[in-house]
Amino acid sequence: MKKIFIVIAFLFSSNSFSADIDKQYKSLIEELRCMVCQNQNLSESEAPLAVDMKQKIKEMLKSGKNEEQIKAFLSERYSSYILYEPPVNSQNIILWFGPLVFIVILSFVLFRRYIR
Amino acid sequence: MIIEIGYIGYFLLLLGLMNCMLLLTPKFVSGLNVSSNILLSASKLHFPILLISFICLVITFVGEDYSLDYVAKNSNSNLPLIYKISAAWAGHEGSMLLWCVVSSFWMFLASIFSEDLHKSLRINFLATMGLLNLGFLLFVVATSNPFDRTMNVPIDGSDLNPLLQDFGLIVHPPMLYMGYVGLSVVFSFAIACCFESDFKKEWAQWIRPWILASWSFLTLGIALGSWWAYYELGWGGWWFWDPVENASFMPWLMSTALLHSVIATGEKGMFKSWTILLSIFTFSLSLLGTFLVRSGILISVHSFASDPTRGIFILLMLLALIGGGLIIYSMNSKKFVDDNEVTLFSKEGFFLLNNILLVTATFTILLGTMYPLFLDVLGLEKISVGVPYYNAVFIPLMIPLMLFVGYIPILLARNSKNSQLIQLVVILILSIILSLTFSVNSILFFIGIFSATWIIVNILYDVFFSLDNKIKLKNRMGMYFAHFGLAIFILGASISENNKIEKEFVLNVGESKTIGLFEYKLEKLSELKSVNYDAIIASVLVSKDNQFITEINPEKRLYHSSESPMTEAGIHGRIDRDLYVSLGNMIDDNKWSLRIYDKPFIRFIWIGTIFMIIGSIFSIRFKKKSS
Repeated sequence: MKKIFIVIAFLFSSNSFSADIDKQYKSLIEELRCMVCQNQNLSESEAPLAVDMKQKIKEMLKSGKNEEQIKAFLSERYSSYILYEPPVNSQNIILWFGPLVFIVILSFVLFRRYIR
Repeated sequence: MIIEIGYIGYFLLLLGLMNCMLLLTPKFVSGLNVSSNILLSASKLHFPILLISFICLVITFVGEDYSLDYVAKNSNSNLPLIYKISAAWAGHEGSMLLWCVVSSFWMFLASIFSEDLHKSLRINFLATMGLLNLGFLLFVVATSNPFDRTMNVPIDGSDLNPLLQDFGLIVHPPMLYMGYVGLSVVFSFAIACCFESDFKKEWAQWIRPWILASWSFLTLGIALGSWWAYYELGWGGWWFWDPVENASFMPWLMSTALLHSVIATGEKGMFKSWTILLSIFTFSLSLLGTFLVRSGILISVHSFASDPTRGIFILLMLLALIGGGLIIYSMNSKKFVDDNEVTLFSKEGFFLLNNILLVTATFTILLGTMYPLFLDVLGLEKISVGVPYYNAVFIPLMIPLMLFVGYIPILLARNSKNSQLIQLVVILILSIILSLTFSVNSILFFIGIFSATWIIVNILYDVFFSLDNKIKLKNRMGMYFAHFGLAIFILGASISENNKIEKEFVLNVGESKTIGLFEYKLEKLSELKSVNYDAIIASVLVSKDNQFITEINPEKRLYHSSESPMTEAGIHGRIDRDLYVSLGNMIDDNKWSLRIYDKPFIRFIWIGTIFMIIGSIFSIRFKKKSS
């Protein structure tokens, strides 16, 4: 039964890279989707693919890549589906600016109707 | 013998269906003039019929009648009794039957407590509820019958989803359903009011306790769900903005808006048509949530398309509800003329601001939940909408809302400018001290701490200066408890997020590691065989300055009929701090990866919601007299 628990190990010691990179790493893996899970970020996931990806991200951070570069690399490879923060582009314009338009219209309608 | 129970249950479902039609006949055949006795008794009778049917379902689970397809798929002979019982509502069919039972229960209550309403209102109200009950029950009988038989009867059943073999998830769905369906009472009442010549103040006062009761159940249901996610999923989070969570959060936000606007309608006859519109949308969102969760559309648009009957049925019901509701509303809204006008700088003006922010927040979540689905249906590039999106669009809406909440006591007291200034200075100093104590490192968390302090101090200030005015205190008790709870919640969310320590590393048995203030030692690993699962239990000893503090026992469980292991986090919970350990992966027999989380004040999140519910109960208990 124990065998079932064995998944490829990912060993790391937090001493081997600086606190700053550690912080970057943590916030980054929370914003990326595990591509084989239902709706989990990389940080939560222990799926083999997620473990590999976390390893890759760690290496990239160590080699001096910044967050933006890593995100660009990953969304190039896996499509922007991997980003929990959808890119601001023409396809997502309603998603990002809809709430703003909505609150303006709602305020206008309600104020005009009710406020003396 | 047990075979018959399943047939009796099914027979009762059909009886319930006929009862619903009977309930509606006086309404549609001969209008109001005929005696409404049939309607009244049928609306009461519906509950016992469905309750017994549901009990029959539970009996078939306990009695292991695996000739019922639903029982065979969701239970197993080896399950402990409690999970055999709760398995009755663990799957789709049973939970939809539970929904119907809850709905019939609310109709039962509505029928009993509506005696003081005048006749036409009462009849339209109960008839609308009857129509909804008919729709729900038709859905169960036509698409999701838990009493369907199967040809290949398994000997021991299959198994209950391991995630559901847990106390939290036994009580979470019934509570949530009580909330969702309770809002159907509010919806039905709003529709009935549309057929009257006016929306009277007394009626708004009459419906408010029903809104509060549904809201309390919804709050409890959501809090239980988030608590469950926290201790069960093993990653230490309590909210992920998952579509399933959003599905319950949207009606919660809308009903929060509604329970405020209805005060103004009840006290001063303001926002009449707006309150009715909110009532319609609030219940529509409950049903939308059910559609999202139950149709399978969230898992994938394609899995929905492969078996769309259920989804399409709910979708049609949803369209009929929103469409019908809005048509009835728009045909009648002109006749609701408000008794008073609103000034911005008043309690009612603040309700309006509250409503604008809460409705926009709801819209934002709706957009974030539906947008990826639309893109997927249209075949455009798939996207993920998650925490960063909601942090960017939802939190900015909540900040002004919290500032308004905190301002309410000052607004009501109308103090001189002077004491307001002193209050503000005190609050600023307090929140700076708090922020320094918790070494807050971002503006956002400072705003969180500031707004919590702002709310709490203003409430305490007002309470302190009103101690001699018992009536005023009694009237405001519910509000103050609920707002205080909100502040506690914000404190918990801010501090636990700001000061969390999360580490993941590998330990050999006997090794230890210091994280934050505490040292964690992996003392030993032991195996456990339980009736429904096998487990490995770790014993992690926690100490501080070589003083033993506690032993934490995280587990990895393998349920008998599931391939993937389940994580059972071990939590040492105190009011000011949770130490949270979960087992990651096994490296070899004596070596495991561990996740250790140190979360200060995270319990405030749930303590806050308890205060909110207490506040709501106070408000139900002490009804305000209209001025």
